[in-house]
Amino acid sequence: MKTKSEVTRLLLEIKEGSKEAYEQLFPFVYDELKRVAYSKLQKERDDITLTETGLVHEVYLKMIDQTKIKAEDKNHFMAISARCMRQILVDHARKKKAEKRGGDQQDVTYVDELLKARHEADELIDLDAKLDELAELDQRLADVVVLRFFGQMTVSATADALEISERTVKRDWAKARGWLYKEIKG
Amino acid sequence: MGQQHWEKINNIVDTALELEKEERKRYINKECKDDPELKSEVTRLLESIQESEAEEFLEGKESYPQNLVSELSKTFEKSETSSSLVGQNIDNFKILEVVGHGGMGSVFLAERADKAYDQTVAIKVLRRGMDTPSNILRFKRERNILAKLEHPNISRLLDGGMTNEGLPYLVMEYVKGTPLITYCDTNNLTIEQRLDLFKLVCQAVQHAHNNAVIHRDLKPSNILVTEDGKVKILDFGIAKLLEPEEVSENLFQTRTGARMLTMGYAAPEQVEGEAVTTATDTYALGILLYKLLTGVHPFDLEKKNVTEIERLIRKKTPTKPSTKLGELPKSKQQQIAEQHNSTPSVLQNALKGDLDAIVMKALRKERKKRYNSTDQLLEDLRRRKQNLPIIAREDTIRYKTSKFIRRHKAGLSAAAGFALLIISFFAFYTWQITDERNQARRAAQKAEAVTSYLTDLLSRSNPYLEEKNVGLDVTLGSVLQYGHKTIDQEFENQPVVKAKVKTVIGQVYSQLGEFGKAESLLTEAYQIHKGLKSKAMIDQANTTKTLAFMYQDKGNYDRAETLLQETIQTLQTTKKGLITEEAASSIARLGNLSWFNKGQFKTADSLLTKALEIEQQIHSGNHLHIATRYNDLATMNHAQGKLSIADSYYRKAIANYRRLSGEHANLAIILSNFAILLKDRGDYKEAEQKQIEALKMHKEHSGENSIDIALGTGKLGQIYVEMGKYERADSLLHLSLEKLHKIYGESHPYIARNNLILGKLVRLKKNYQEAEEILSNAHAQFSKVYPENHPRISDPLLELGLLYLENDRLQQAGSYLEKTLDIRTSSYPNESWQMAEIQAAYGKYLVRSEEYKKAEKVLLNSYDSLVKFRGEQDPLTLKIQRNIASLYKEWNKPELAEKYR
Repeated sequence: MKTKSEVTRLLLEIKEGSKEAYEQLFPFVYDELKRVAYSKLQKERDDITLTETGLVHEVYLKMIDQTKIKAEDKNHFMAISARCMRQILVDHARKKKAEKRGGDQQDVTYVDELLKARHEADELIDLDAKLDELAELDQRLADVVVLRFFGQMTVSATADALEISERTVKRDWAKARGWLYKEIKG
Repeated sequence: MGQQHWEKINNIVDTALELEKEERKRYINKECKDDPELKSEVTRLLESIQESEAEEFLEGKESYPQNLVSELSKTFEKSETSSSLVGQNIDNFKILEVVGHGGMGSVFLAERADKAYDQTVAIKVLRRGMDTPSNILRFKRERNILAKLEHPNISRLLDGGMTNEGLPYLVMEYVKGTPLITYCDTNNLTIEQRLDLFKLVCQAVQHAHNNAVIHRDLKPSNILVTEDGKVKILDFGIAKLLEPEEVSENLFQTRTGARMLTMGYAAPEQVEGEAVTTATDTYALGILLYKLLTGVHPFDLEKKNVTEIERLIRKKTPTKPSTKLGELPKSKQQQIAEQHNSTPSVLQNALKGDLDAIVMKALRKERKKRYNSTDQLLEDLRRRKQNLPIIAREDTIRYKTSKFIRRHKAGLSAAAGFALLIISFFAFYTWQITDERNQARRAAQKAEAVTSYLTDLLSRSNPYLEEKNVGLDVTLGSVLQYGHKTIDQEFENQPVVKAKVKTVIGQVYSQLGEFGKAESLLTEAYQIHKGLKSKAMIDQANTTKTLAFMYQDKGNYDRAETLLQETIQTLQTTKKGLITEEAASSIARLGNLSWFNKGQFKTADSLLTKALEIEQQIHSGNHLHIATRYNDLATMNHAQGKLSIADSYYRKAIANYRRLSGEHANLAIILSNFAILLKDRGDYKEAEQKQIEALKMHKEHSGENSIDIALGTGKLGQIYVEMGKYERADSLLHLSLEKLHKIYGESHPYIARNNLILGKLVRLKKNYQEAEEILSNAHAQFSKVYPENHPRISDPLLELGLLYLENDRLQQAGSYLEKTLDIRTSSYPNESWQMAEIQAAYGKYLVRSEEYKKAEKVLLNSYDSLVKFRGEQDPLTLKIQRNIASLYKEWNKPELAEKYR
């Protein structure tokens, strides 16, 4: 377990462009998010108030020393969390899919809502793959999608984290979304 | 796509996004000049950007991350509830252990808590709560239906209720066993042994269908074989318990909502969210049979996502079982063959032919094309075993014919092949029912089918046509014409075949409404037979009958009658005499013609009864033909006003149909006729209900624009007229007329009948001028269609009489009502509602004309028979009662008037 100050230091280094710091921090945030998510689920399963932003915020408060950091640095943390979230959700979708396959897949009775969730798990896995393809063509477009979609970050937070203008975020978001739509639904 | 290429696109799109529509177009054209590929990619991306924005793709509250997170918690919830119930009591049962979880809930093993007797049961606790009182009520109702389902091969539903948490649960007979397919494979059962078990499953399913229960979720894990070798089907009808209540009354709305389905066994209609019928179970049985026979599923579902699987189910025609087996890797084939106690080649040969055809028929995408009932499927399995032709032979005919042609390719001229094909094709349809409308519909289907069969055949193997350069788009017309022209030379020395082909082509022409060509061909065939002098009596009878049908359709009833009588005489000279389906159908046709077209009810009655007796003699017990004959008799008695006799025939016909084929277009027609009977008897509520049921069935079987829907809609309107629901009646009648005009053009008996009802409605709404116009028009149409004193002519006459009476045009009223009375007196028994109806009207007229004595006689007569028929509280009876009261008042006999008040 890293201490709050260590994590905070890593975050600041990432902001300065350190690749190494990113490699160190990522798995750490990933584990923490996952742990909090699952423990949350067990406690709050009756009312599903759990949202990603809430989750990320909770982890942020827990991991980062607020006194050492400026408001806009928070967005860099959020960006990392968004990438972690992508990983967590896609893993979960894959696991779900595998579970269903594990039994006699043709022989499981679904109610509509489960079917819907299956659809979405499938679509999420598709989306993940297509995002990788998009990144090959244009990394920044893919980044915008990860932050906006998986991190549910606002336009201005995304602009902050990626250090580009809000106008560019908006345009990239439109293009990336169009491209993904074309690939997935077209 | 390379990165460089992407950058090019990206740059153009960036700029384009900033531009207005027209400017954007110009800009793209300029940038992508000489590079159509680039242009199309740019345009596609721009379109996708717009679409994704409109759809809020990856946005909005319900994005996947949110859903996945919430779904995670549900998975958790499920296992929580399940384990917590172990050790607890539900009702009188103690939960012992968890048996399994399914999509709809968890299953537990339980025993009687009070140990009153030794009984282990399975308790299914459903996941979903029943949210509304009406849903709970429905749950109970369904449960009661299921509890009555008793069959040795169906696991029984013992009890059910709500847990303390409000979750519905079901207590069921606990079955310990092995899934059917596993059982067959581990015991190396042969094809025949497997089929024997499969037949047991079918019989159980048919039993449930007879009790109006559809399984909806048949699959191997729901079909177990117990240790002592008994087959048990689990979860019968359970899936329906979970469906939300259907929105009532709204006929034309598609049902949505939760649906239970198992992807591997779901029928196309289930995937599409359409109504589930007995045919849905047939489909699942088809998949099961496929797996039992081949060891594999018809579709390759491995590694496919839901969308892909749904597409396969909806669109892909499965590979024939025998072919599928041959396509498997050799080692897999060997393994499957061993499980069948056989070898790959023997197994494959056993599947070829009948079994292939049977499985494929059960798996048809369109419900209508599958087996009508599980009984039919069983029947085919039985026939296969006895080497009799099977019902699924629509496919096999093609197979046989093409095989025949392949064998005799050298010696067989194209036209002979064509004749053979067309004849065998029609043989398939000889079981057809004698309902007029059905024939019209079948004619269309036949025409279509004949065209495709022939096109297929001719384009493949007909040197004749290739020479003449007839392409693939050969139409039925050109095929017929070709056949028509070549018959004489092709069959110069084979008069019987020549007559046969001429008959077949003539029949097709007649069904297409081309009576001129039909008449000349059929007459030629008829003459050939006459010249042969009793060489091919059955063929001769068939030709004569076809000619008769043609004249009937054309409206030449006398000629039709003579020819039908001749047909029957000819058949009588054959070996089997009149005890054949052919004879029965000819006699029935003559019977229908007698009353429908000529108004001779007595003759009709004896003919139709005779036809029924013949069918009963041929088919002991239930058969669709018998149901059809019941319907003939019902319709005739109905038209004659003998309501209680008609009632009993209708009920027999309906019961027969329900038992034999479940929902069916013919059943819908009978239900619809029956609804009109109920209306005539004054049971409006039930009439409405039956008519709606019929409409639903029609909608499912024939589609929105069929004749049946048009007529059914009109009949429902007619019922609403009687119920006084004028607004509804008005819109339905107009809808019906609109549809009928689309089908028949300007005039047709059905249109005339609808106009009559519409005229009545307008009269009741007191728009007399309009009513007179519509009714006079209807009267003219009726006169064109029916002979002079046909009972139906009296219907528009009566309406016109009533109209004039209400308008105080007494003289006209008198002449129309008297004419009506004349016709009805000679057509209907005195104690019929038709007589009561006209007597009521005529009595009213007499009162107005101050002929009190005469009026009294007529009205009292009418009153007495109505009391007998409909009881004292019937609206029509009450109406006459009021008429009598006002008669006595006018007549100045107040003490008598009081009696009828």
